[in-house]
Amino acid sequence: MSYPNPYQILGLCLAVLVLLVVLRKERPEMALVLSLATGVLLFLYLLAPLGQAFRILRDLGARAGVGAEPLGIVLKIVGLAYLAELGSSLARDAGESALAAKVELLAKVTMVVVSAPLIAGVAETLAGILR
Amino acid sequence: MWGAEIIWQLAGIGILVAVIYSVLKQAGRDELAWVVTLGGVAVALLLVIRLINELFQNVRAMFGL
Repeated sequence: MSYPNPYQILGLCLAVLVLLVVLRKERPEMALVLSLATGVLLFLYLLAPLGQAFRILRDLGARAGVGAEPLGIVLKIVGLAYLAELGSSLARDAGESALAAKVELLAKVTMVVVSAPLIAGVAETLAGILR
Repeated sequence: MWGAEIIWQLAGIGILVAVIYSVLKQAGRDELAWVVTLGGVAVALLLVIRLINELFQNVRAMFGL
């Protein structure tokens, strides 16, 4: 099991925080790029442990008899949520909360479309019980 | 730790641009100061876009999006 060193991550965050506070007053657009880069980098660090967590989930799902397809849909939705959060929080930091709201709305609608097979399956099961 | 050097590069570019901007503004060359700011942002975005590309490829592989 490998995971990023929490002390290194925290140190990086603190250093970037100081730089951001200094930069945001002078050059807000540079602060925006710096915060974007830090967010992306932290997400890249997160990917390795996240992959391990997904492997555990797949393993548990296989033991419980859950097929690979529903689990894949759930993972897709988790990925969409992470990406949307990255974009919308960045926009909100830059003071563009309207754009952030649109990004979140887009992500929600995409999630509904992606999860359509699951919703259809639930509806079918319910109809079968009621009949 | 890998990848962190891009953070220091970006912070350096930002501070450099801020200093050059204020010097040029003091010298009365406002339009040149604006161009320096724009150039700094463009260079910073070019640095970040590789990182974003890497992130998107990883996310696509992991989540199956």
